[in-house]
Amino acid sequence: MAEELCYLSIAEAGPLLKSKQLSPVELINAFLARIEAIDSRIHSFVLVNREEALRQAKAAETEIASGRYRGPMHGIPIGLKDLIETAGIRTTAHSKVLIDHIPAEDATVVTRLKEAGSILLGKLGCLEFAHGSPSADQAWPAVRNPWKTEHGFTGGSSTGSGSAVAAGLAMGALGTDTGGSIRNPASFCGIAGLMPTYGRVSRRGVIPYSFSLDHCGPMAWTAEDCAIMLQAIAGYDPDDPGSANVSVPDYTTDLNQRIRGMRIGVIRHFYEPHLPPEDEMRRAFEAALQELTKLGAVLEDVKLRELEEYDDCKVIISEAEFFAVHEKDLIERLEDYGANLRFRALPGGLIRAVDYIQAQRQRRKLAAEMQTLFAGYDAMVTLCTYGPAPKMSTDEPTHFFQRPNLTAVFNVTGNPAISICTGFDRMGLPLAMQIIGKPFDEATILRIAHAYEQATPWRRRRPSWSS
Amino acid sequence: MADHNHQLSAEEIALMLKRAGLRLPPEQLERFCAVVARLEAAARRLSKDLQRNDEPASVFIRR
Repeated sequence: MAEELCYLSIAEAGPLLKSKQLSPVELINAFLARIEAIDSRIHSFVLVNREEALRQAKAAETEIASGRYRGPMHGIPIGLKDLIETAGIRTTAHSKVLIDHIPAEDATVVTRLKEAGSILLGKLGCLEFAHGSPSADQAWPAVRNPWKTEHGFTGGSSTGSGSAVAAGLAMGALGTDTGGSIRNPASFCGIAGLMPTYGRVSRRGVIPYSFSLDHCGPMAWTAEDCAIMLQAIAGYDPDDPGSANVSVPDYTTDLNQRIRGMRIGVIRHFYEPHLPPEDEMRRAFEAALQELTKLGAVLEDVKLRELEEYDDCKVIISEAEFFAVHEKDLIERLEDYGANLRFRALPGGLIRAVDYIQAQRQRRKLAAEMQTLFAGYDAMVTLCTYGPAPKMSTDEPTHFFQRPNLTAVFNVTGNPAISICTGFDRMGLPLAMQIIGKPFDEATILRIAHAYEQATPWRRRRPSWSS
Repeated sequence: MADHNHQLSAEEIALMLKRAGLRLPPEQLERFCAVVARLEAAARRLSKDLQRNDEPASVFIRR
């Protein structure tokens, strides 16, 4: 029974909580027991907020019992990437540099989730400052992939968010995404991960990686759950200089509408023929395209610029900005950073000012071109990663720079993008694709993702190790 | 304008690191130089079609 509770989606749990068939206290106890039993195998949590979660659950129970149901996030157990600041709760960015950092205030997204009545189970592991990679000298063990704990990397950088949701240790989580850090672990962990439009969700209180490219967004079992979570956190925040004052639609109203007639551009040239993906990933993607066609979408190939052009732009901006954020600590206490992050961070200090500015000028062009291209389409689709989760490695700090990733394109242009599961490979590891939308049109990509998930069996399968 | 055809040597990179106040164990310098070369190549490719009046992107969205 406890496992069944932990495998409910947010959309399934909400009505049960609202109608008092399910108690928030019962639900939170089930999750806390499951974390206690299982998390030592995947290390998704760096801090479990046990007492406060139970207190919040009791408060939610009292409120709901007295007829004050706040909405579909009320009583829902969630986790937060440990890059997102929480008042009075240690927020480390998974780094020794911030090992004693206890923020005075909640990030705006935390405030909004609390207002919606969600219950914070704890803080989730991530790659160090959202940019490192697993290394033996870190304060916490690397997060493992629940689909294959002995083998699997979870992707990055929202590692704990992907792992916890897939394992049924949180119904939803927040992640952050500067070059794919929501979509990549969502892909490797077989869940849904939405990077909203730049400016749609506040970054205030989210420890920065790169101001120009950072996004915060939901990670959950389904696209529908991402829609419910996005509803709670989206909207203008005057305290975030990048926040956009754009009205927020109801993301669930049209979620069940058909996608017949929608025009979807298919991007294959990012990886074909020069960067071929693994066969099973490619086949799953082509099968997903057939499914979208069966659902009535009209698909055609679309050509953007070469992948490398977006990647060049992203790397120069993100590395220069990361270094700017960390310059003082990198000079004064370099040894407190993990070995791999040290190696990744230092080159940013050698980027010339003019190259950074050229990258920002180029970014403006790339973003404008993308929106012009989008005039002919409701959405675009492409792969999210070249293959399923690779083997965990703790000794390769430079792979980050070796092959352009398929996700950073949309950090550069600011478009929303969601990663969803498209099946499993022979080893049982999840496969995925990403669906990209027009700026501030998350509703359309959520609708397409939901239609696909409803038409395919992939949401009925969970990691077998945890049963 | 920088000479992007000039490949930075290990000695030059070591000097740049020192100037930036950064330390790197000597045994890691070779691998570090490869990453710097990757960034240099990215920078070299970036500006090839920029026009005089192309503005930079900004995090400040006006709507």
